[in-house]
Amino acid sequence: MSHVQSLPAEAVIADLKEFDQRSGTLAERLLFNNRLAIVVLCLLTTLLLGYQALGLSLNAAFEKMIPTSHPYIANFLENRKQLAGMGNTLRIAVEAKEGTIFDAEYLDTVRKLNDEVFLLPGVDRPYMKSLWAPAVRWTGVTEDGLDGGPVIPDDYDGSPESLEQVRINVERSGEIGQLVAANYRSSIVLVPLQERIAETGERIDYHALSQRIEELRGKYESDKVAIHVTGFAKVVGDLIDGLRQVLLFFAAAIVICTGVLYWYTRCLRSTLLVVACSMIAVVWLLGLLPTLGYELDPYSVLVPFLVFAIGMSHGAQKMNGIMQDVGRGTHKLVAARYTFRRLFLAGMTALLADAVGFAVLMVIDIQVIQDLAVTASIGVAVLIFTNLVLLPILLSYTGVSPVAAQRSLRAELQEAGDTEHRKHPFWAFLDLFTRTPWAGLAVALGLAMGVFGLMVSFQLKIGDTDPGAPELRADSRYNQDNAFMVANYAASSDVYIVMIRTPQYACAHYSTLRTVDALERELQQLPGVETTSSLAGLAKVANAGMNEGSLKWFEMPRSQDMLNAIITRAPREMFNQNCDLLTVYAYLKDHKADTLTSVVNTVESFAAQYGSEEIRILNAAGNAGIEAATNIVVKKANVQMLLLVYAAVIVLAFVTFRSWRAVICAVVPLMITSVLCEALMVWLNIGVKVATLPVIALGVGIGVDYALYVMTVTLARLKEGMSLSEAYYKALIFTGKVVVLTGITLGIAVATWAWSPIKFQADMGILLAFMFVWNMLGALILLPALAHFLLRPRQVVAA
Amino acid sequence: MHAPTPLHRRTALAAAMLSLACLAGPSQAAGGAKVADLLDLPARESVRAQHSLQLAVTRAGDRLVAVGERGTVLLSDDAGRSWRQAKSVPVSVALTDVHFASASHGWAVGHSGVVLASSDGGETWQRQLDGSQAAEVIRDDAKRRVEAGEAGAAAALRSAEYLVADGPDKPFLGVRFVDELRGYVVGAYGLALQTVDGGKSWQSLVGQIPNPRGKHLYQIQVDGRSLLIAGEQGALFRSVDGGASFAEIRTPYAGTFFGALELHGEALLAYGLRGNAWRSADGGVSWQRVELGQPLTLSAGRQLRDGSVLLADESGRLLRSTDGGQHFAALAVQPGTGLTGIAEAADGALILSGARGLSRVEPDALASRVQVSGVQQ
Repeated sequence: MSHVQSLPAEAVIADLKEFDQRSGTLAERLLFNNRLAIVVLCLLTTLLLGYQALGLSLNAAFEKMIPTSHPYIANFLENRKQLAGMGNTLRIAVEAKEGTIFDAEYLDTVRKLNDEVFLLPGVDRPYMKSLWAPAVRWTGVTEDGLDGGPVIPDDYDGSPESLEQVRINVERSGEIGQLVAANYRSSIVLVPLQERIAETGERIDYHALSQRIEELRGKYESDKVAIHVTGFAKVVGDLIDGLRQVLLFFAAAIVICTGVLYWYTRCLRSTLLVVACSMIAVVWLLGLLPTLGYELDPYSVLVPFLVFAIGMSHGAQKMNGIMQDVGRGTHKLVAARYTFRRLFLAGMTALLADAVGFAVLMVIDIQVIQDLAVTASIGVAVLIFTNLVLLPILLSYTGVSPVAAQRSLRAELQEAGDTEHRKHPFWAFLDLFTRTPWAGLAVALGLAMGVFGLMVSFQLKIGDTDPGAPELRADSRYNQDNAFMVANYAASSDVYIVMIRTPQYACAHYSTLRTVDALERELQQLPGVETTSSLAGLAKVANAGMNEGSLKWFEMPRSQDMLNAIITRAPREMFNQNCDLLTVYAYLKDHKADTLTSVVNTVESFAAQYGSEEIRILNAAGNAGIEAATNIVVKKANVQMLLLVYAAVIVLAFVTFRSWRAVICAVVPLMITSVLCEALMVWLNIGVKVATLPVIALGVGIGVDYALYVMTVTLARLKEGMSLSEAYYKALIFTGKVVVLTGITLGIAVATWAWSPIKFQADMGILLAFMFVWNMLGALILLPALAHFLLRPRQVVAA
Repeated sequence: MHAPTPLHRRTALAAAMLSLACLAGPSQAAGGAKVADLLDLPARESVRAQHSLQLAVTRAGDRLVAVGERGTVLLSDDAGRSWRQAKSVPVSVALTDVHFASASHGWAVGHSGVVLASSDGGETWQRQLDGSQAAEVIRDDAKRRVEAGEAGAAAALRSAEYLVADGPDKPFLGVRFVDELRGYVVGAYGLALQTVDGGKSWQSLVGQIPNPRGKHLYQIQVDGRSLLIAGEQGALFRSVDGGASFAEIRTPYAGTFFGALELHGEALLAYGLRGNAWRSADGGVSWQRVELGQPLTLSAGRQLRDGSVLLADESGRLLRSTDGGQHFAALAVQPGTGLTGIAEAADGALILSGARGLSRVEPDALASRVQVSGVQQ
């Protein structure tokens, strides 16, 4: 509504014959004189894109959520294939609720589960481990060398004697803390996965796999046995499950928006039409995405909501205009054309403002956010056709309910005639802010909140703050299972991997290991690091092992023959086939930003000192390493994005208003809202992360609409010589109503996300709802208050 | 996964919009410095020192001194209740044993053939010997014996030449000093040296010990002029003349002894792999196996001031004998797995070194017992 001009009132034309079909702009004539063709065209487009939309896929591709061109991630991607220990592994813990695992019934359950899991598609069967896997053995040192056997002996028969044998074997298996919990109340079935199913060559369908695991969980859980499952595959499976629930929120958003609109207009037919047009926009968007090669991910899946809600608010504007004209007695086609004339340019400017807000997100070097930006921009572009063109054309056929039209007209006349502003206490209340002392009060309060928010926002954290899988809620089944694993097994869910590149076959040189050992020692000094592991540490353990288990030999052997003997038995996750890549694992207490930063800095300064062409010390892989890189990018992007989005909004506002005073009135409330949003994030313990980055850009981009709606009308009235109070009151009646409607509609629609099982969607929902509502309040309260100090009729004329 | 997307276009668009900010990530700087050899790298002050692997613990007056991985030396002045790191240790190799001749003068040995000495009760340490120097000492001695025409000296010289060529890659595993001047160190592949000047100079004992196959020597015990060395493949060597000559004691066990104790009352107790503890009451002529219940490796042993004998096994069991090593009972304490050394604090508490650092067992726990085993006759 940025270009609402004080147009000369159009003549009321009740009979279509009196209307000059050749009047209006070229676009208007082109569109309205070919109404039927346009409708048919839109119908065909909808059918075509609707068909295309069937091919739209939901995905949670891991690579799209990380900043792929950050040097750390580039290092990770470059070495990814050789990082065997990256561990796409499912861990299924079977817990004995009563007693210990040395129980015939318990072991039988584990055996059955083991056998069923073994047959799941995608399982890397030779590497599967559990108490029942033949690969899991005990070893003991004897006078003649090593002795050993499977942990569950071949002659196991469930008798107390064989259970005692199992206990002894477990104790000397070295699997305590790995496959068996130290308290002997649970054991793990470790299921390594292959990217592709060996039999068919297809990629693993994580969702299907996750469902199969859930079936097994249902089958084997009882009052004696609990099952806990963790692993990347399960996270993805749960995420995709969560995405399907998003459809429910979509339904809720439709119902809420429709309800609010109907309450506002009391005209069923046009309400349904606005909903239909907004839905068409969503269909077009969903059809265009696969056509252009995009898919929906957990982030962009929220865009259709936004598009729908924005469409509703613009549709409401069109409807409002037509209703007023029809109420005055204008023919429905003419009314539609008048509205198009008045509002097409204005609507387009507002939508372009939204698009700028989205487009700014393109600077963030994380593909999901760029995809979100593209998706949202497409959605907004589509709205120009569906809600600015198609909607008025459809309304020109259907018209509006006469009763509702009369009601609208009555209200308008009443408000216009009500010079004392008595009739409408709410508008009258808002009008108070154009005068002293309320204006001063509002500005003082606004600035105080801004300063307070700013102080709090300095505590804003980067990254995730909860343990476990940050994508899911802390109390989700997955994160409870994860907590069980962390409590019972020597496994941290936050793994930071440093990659060490050496010349070929040099990975096990003593000098290489000495460097690795020194790095490990530095990492161990950090309070956030629980343990570390590497080939250097393994060499010490192996050296002791090769000397009859005597700990006195716990040192890296200098002899290359010894080292070579050690690496032939070393697990593959420590080094690669070519022996030119070593991995140093740091298991972290958590993935808080401070912890990650301390590790990053330690590795960087170590690399700066000891790195060379011969031994390149590279950050970073592992979930914690990737998160560290993401945090670095997010932190930088947060500042960049704020600068860009405000620069864009200021330019846009200046172009529209041509007055820097008006720009201040429009932009300062937005800034205060942004600062308060950051304070809210501190209060709710939400960090700046991939999911919350777009919130402020979206909030500001859409929020500036409100200021544009209100300020343009106010400025126009001021130019006509009205006092600020009168001008503002007129603006409230003309566009303010729709601002309130839009703020509430958008706010409620995004607030429903708060119930999403996916944590970052919930965070986005809460923050966006806050941004939308506070920006609305800012435009209605702080804007007139600032105008009181900055905008006087004389100054407007001078400008 | 996803269909081919116009990635290039999007990347270009993103790049174009980046005009405001540059994309400089942290650079991968490369200083090219070498991490110093562990023999030249002073032990680092570490927040984890107290929980790191400790391989031996001993008394220096009333003070307790423990040594372990990465050149860590820990000191306690309150009978093992709290520990702090020594001020300066010049190496970062794992230290395997420590012994003090007096409250002030002590020695520690470790990997890379290192011998460290302290003259201030363990606060600061100086390097006296490393593996290369030790190998040269042994080679020079072998050369001298060849020149003197000793039998078998030629073979000894050949293996000594290998020792020198190998460099400092062999650990010392045991150290004992009689006084502030006279001491002995033993180690892997039959390494054995002595000093009579407090470590200023060292002499080879390799020629005196009948160990032609170079079995690892895990421990040396010293009592006046009487020396007892325990090692691989059931090896026990004894000297009664302060190391001038050694005799092999034949044992009925072919596995490794990690230690041997000369108990008051002339009994010998050797302990090692898989729960093997053997006792001889006649100076090593005949041996009896001591039954300990579990085939778990015995990693440390000590005779306490009250005359009782303690053994520790790899699972963390502590076994005590009050009859000169004939019968042992497990104590009802679990100080942690991977025990490596036992010391007795001034207040009678037991101080145990192990895989997770040091632990203190209160004196009254010695009275507790959970099971009794007997000597297998």
